[in-house]
Amino acid sequence: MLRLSFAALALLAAVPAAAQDRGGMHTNNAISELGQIEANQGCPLSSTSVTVGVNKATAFGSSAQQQLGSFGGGGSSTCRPLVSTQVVAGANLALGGRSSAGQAITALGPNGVLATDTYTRGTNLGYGALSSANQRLINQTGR
Amino acid sequence: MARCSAAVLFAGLSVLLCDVSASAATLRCRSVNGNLNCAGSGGASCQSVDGRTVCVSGDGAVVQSFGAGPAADMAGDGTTGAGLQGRDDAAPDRAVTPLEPQ
Repeated sequence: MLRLSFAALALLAAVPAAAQDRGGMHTNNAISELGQIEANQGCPLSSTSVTVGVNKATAFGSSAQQQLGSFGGGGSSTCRPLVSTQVVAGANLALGGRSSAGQAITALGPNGVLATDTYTRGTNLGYGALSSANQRLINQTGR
Repeated sequence: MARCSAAVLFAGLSVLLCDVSASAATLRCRSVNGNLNCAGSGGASCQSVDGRTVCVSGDGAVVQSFGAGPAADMAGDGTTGAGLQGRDDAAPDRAVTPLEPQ
C-alpha cells in the first residue's frame, strides 16, 4: 500500500517536468509578437500555477475527501501575462475495502498574450474490494 | 529533458501497475489522454477531467464515458492547451458495455 502511494507520488512529480518540456512558445511571426510584447509592458512576463493533490482512504470502510482550488494566477482582466502555464495533477486512492475517496481540484487562471499551456493529469484508483473513487479535475484558462 | 520525464513517468506507472497486479487480479483500468482510472473487485471509480467523465466498474459490469471536454482553443486567440493533446487510448466515447452475468 505504501509502495502504491510512492508510485502515485512519483507519477505526480513527473507531471510538472513534462509540462515544462511542452511549455513555452514557438515563434511564428516575430514582428507581430514583438509588437505584442511591447504593448504588454508593465504586465507580468509569465504566470505559472501548479496545483497537486494526493488523497487516499486506506482503512477498511474509511472515507477521505479533498478539495483544492487555485484561482487567479498572474495579471488581471486588463493586464495579462505574456505566457501562462497551468498544471493540475491529482492522485485519488481508495485502497481499503469498502473505502471511499473523493477529490476535486480546480484551477482557473489567465490566458497568456502569446501562449497558454495547460497540463492536466489524474490517477484515480478504487483498489479495495467494493471501494469507490471519484475524481474531478478542472483546469481552465480564459479570464 | 523530455526523455527523462517520460522515463520517470513510465517507471512510476510500471511500479504502480506491477504493485496492483500482484495483489488484485480484477483491477480494471482505463486511460484517457494519460489520465488513469481504475476500479478493483466490486468497486467503482469515476474520473472527470475538464468536463469529460469516465466511469469504470471493477467487475466489468459498466464502463461509461461522457462529455466531450472543452474546445482545443477556448480563448480563440490561437493559444493551445497541452492538456488536450495526446492519444485517447480508451474505447470510443459514449461506449457502454452491458451487464455481464456473474
